[in-house]
Amino acid sequence: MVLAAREDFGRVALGAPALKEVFIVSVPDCLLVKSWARAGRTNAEETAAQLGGLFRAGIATLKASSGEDVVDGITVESGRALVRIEIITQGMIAAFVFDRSAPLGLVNVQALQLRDHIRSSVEQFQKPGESDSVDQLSVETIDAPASAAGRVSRDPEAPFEADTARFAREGTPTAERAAPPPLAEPSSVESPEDDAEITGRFDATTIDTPEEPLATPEAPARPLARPRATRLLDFFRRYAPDPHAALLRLSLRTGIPVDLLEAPDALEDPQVEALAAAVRDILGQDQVGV
Amino acid sequence: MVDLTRIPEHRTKINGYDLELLADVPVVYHCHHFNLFWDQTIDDALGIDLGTVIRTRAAREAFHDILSTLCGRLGADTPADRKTLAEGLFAAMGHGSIALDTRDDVGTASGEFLHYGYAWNEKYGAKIRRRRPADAVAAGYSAAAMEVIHGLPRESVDAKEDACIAMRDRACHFDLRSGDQTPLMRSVRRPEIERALGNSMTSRDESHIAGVAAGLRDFAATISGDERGLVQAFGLFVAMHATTYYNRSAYDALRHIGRTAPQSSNVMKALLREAGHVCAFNTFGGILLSPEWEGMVGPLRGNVEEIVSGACAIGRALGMGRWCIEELVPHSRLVIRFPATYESTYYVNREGRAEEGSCYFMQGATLATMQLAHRVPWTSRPALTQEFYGELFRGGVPWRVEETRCVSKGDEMCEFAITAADASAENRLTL
Repeated sequence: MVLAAREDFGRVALGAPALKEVFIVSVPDCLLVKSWARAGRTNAEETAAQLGGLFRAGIATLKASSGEDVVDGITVESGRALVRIEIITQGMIAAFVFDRSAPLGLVNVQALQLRDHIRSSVEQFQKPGESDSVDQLSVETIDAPASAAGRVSRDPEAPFEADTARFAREGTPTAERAAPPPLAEPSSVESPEDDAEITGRFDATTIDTPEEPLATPEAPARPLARPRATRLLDFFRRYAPDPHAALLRLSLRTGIPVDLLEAPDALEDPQVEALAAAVRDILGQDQVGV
Repeated sequence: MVDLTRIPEHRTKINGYDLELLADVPVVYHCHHFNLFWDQTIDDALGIDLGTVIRTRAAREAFHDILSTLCGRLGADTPADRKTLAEGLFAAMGHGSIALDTRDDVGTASGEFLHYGYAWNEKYGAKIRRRRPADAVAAGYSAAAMEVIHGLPRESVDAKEDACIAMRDRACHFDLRSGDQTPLMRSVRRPEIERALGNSMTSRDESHIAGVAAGLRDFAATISGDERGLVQAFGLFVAMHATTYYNRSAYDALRHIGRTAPQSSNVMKALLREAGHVCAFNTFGGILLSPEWEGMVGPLRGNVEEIVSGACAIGRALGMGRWCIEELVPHSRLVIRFPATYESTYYVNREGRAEEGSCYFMQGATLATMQLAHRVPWTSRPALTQEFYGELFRGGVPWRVEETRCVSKGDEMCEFAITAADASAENRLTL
């Protein structure tokens, strides 16, 4: 369904034997949205966090070195792998990891095909007329472009500190904009699936059940959104200065009991706002884009 | 000219209780892990603005006592001598380098390598950005110094840090202004502490614990601030600190929380306890793994009795009170007693009679002792990193601590019982 169902990745991969892995990553928070791997790997979340930073640094470097104002993607090459990072939406990037032996022209073509495929999946899901599902997805996909989504909502109280399109256009954020914190401990591992693995940080978004049809305007999506409070807590646990004390700190700051924080889906809007403010404050962020 | 080398002469202890004093003001050695966690907890409870005010005032009070007494004892009669003493003492205690420029109405202070700001940067700086200054202790110290240098009423100078290395400024800077005297609180110095003490006691394995503690104390006596004014040892930044700073900030904050958000009181207590846990785990563990320890005591075998006795000796040497093992059943139960702690002696002087045990730091520290004894593979000499700590305690702790007796409740001693518990989510952070 959204972000390419599992069989979609598999189908594309059949035609791209050099494609080793795919990561879809939300930015600026660098959380793993979805991943696919031809062979097993166990640190997709860590890779996602690094990819977000790599993308940001790459855009800034390109702007500084070549003066490019608009960058659609970047390519990083090593002796064994070639990583192509493409913008999917304002709040999402995709990284395609190819075997280095693949011809560069082929890599470009396949990366762009995959990028377009993922973009169209997002756009399809966010077509106007799907008010409920679009609203849910707008929370879930974090930062879909208004032009694509028509009326995708963005939480006005938590605007994204930076978005990929602006990075591409303007280069690195200003000094006032804090870079996303570096990687914290990954909180989950992938599970093997035949010869490939597909994982998603946002379980509800992963939508990897092959038997489910793609979302269409006629087939409203089932509720997908992970509540914002859950995402805030997940984000905070990853980057909190003392992760083991994260919940207690937030509880003390907000007055929200610890047991409620352990079941954040039930939090009411004012509590979620208090939570967001506490997370911003503790992490020293002007805004937290989750 | 004031002779700074005579400062150590004024370090004393209350015999039989292992409580340290500097110029008759209670002090203790604490590491940066504890100090940062403690301050963060105060700020979480009160908000950064009120938290900073409370912490600054607590530091100002405590350091005024130390500075004014030392000026008298060391013959620092002129403002210049007092300034020299104030700057030298700050570095000698391991709080960093500070330069004072004061008159009797306004002044400034500049700081480099300040214990809090510098350590915050070292520990968290690469991960998160700090937006507010970290050095309320140095601010309070500077205010107290200005009061003492110019003979101003105690607790009448306000200090505000307007640049901080923890905020990625080049150095720390403080603005000092003479103002109205804030209400004074009852003194908590040697006489008041001695009146609160119960009978001294001895521990199981007393001779070994006392011997090691004495050796460590001798070693600690040689430690002073380096050229930066920092004490870096055992993989830690360590500072001698006035216990009134910790006590006043915590109990004031708890009182405030009790009035404004009573549902959060237990959360704050759990975080204070966790600060003690962090402290003992890192400091005791760092010392146990140090070459100095091996040289003094011998190589670690890693058995439970050895670690618990070692922790008691370290706690005594650092001025944390007379740690006494009352009962130890490996893998099951530990009871540690104190004739009094630096927390309970403060509490009875300032807060009155408690309804429950009020030694939150010590609750965490004794709990950590059981963790150290059972959960650290000593013979493999692990690095006591934040990651290691997180790995050990992410899923909860398999022990629970209860302060079964406390001087603040009117008991004759403070007693902590650590027993086995499920490492469940409910038991996380010793809640």
